[in-house]
Amino acid sequence: MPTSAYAAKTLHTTVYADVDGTFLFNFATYVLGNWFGSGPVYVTTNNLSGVAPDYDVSENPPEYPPVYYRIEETVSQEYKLSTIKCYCDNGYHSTGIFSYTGTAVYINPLGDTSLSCSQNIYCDFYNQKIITPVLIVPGIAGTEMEKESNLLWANVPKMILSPSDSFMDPLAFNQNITPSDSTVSISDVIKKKPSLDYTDGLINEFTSQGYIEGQTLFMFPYDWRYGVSGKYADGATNSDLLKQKIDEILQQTGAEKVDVVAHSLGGLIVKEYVIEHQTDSHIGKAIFVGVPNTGAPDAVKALIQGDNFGIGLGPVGLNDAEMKKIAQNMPTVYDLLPTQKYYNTTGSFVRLLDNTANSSYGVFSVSDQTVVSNFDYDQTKSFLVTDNSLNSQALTGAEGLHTEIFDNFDMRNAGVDLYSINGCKTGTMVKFEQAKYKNLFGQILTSYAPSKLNTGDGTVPVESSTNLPIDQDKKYYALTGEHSKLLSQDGSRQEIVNLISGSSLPVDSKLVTQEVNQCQLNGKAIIVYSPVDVSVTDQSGKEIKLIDGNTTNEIPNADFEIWGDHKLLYLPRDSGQAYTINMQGTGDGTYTIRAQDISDSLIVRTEIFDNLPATTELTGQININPGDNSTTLLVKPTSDSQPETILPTIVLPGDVTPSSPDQCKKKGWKNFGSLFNKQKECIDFFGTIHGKKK
Amino acid sequence: MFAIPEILWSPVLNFYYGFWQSGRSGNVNTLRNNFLQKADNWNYLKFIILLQLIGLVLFLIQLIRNKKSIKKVKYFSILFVSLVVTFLVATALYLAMAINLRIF
Repeated sequence: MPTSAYAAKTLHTTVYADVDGTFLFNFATYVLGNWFGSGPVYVTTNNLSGVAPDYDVSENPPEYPPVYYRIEETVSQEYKLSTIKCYCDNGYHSTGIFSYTGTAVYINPLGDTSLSCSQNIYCDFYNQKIITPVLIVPGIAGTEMEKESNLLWANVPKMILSPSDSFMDPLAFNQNITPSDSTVSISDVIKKKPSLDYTDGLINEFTSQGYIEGQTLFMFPYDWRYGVSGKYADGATNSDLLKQKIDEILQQTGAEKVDVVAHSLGGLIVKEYVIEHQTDSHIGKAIFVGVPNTGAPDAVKALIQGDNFGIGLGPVGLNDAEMKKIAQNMPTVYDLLPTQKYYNTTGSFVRLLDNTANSSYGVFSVSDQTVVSNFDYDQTKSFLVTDNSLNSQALTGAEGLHTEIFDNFDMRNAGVDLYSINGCKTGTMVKFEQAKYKNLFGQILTSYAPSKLNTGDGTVPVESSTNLPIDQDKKYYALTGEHSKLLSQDGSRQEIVNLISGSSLPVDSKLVTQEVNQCQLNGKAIIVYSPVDVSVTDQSGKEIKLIDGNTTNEIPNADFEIWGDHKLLYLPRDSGQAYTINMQGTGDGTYTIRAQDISDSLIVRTEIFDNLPATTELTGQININPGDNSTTLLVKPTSDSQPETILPTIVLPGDVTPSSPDQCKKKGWKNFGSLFNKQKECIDFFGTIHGKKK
Repeated sequence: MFAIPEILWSPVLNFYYGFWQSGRSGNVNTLRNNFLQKADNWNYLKFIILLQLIGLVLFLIQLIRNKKSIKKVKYFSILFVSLVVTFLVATALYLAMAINLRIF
């Protein structure tokens, strides 16, 4: 016999979800041939569960018509309903009482006459977030490289402690763009190393939104040395391997699309893949993070000067020259060189100061006798291949990649929902200069130095990272941090996950914005051409140190570049930051300091301390006047001498840029800047051409 | 100054553990997870290790000053251990300053 026939009963509905959300229900009662609905009932889960209001599901006595009940979930696009499970408080289950149809359960309180529920009925709805699988495509050097199980990249202890960096020699390529050691293989995508959280923070953030590594979250480790244009021995490219990876993910998960997060070079590989598979790329959303769409001048530096990847201080660490040797024939570095489109957009990025007719001036001084040339794109290619003996085959391969079709390709036309997160607000080198000069013996020598900064992430200028067809409302700007930290740092990390998963993680507007005007640089750029080292301390004790050619940089949004003896510092002054800048001579000769005031990314004043004597005993400070931003030097040429204040040799206000050759003369540039180049064009100190000489 | 941060967060021990782990493939795990292990807090880590180093140097100075009031064997034992720990902490600080890994 039923234990509680015709009794009053209450339905308790609980909603479970693997990721919190809001769920829509409708409760209905069937009586006398009609359904009477409760109206929409929203249940929001908190800590993965939520409770709906109780609903009366009492039985009717025999003299009344029987009643039935229905609970139906209207499942949103973001979730799927995996299970409905109903039971009585005596634990009794009966298909006679409960019948399940898709997203609803029907309750017939008298459906089973042998037993019945007592006072309470419980129904649990289990929801799962529908997750489009995500693939993270790292950038250059973002995948670990091994040789016979020994880690070559990035083996931080060996980088620091190995007396020579020759353990990384197997990473080098031959002149003919083949690996010098065929036993080198890839390992995992780098997650975390000392001082750098590359993808670990991002993975953890995705995991908090219900993604599971290996099931819905995937990595694409690849041999980054080949870049986009390089080909493996079997003719495959990294974009071919990306296709394989995407196909594997689709097969494993049963999904129709994957969402892609691509960092730096990874974005170029994704772009090439989409171009090759425009109708069947199977990419839903793509988020480009710090992608050098039209290249980055830092790649030129890596090829002609080398780069220690931030590993080094004093006698330990990576050697620029060793890294230059390893990079020489790698297609990947050439793929990141500034392209014709970069040149068309931003102008020349290499300037030549020819001081060979002018032996009495400093290496980077500009006099009436200095011939200044801003290289056009073809001259730049010649400069790289002929003057610097770089790999012409690799350069040709990179040019073959960066065609107009590639650089202007609109991924949206291939069905990709494209977003970009661009690091800005950090001073980034956009132009450098080569000086030719004669030494005492009449030999012609060359030297390199950075010469111009603009906004970017410290590696990729914002002109390059934003140079792709994309909806304006899908462009985001990260206001802090640097290129290699963009994936996992606060702000951009949450924004990436929000864009991909639809979550609403809080993103501080001081960290990520959609307003490009917040990216403007405001600060001081100081270029030191000299055998003089500098170190900087800000008001909170954070430092930039340049010791023996190696650097540390703790100051947010500051930048430093080192080219041999020459250094470029960018020190932000948006918030009135104060700095102590110390100098220490490292050799005998002369030094020149160029201090530029930058306001809203424009150089508004340049102060030049030209051709001052340097010795190893020289010490001093570069002082920035907090009132008018002017710069003075306080120098002790020797340990015995008294400190002396040095004012700039020349001050060039930024608002008198000449617009014609006549103006060029009138404004007095000839007293310092080289007025005319070989083409008789009027040029200001910054290399901007203002017209032909009459 | 050395002991309390080490008891609370093990900055020096964690640093060496993570440093040697980064010489092999795979993720760098932490011995004791805490805020100092976040890469964003690398500067705090350096600062804490600097404080520990200062504490050790001050301890060494005090130890040498009070040389006569401590038995010889005990004195040299403490001095030896302190010098070794100071060397390790100084090395950790130097290495932490030398590393600012960048990936393009």
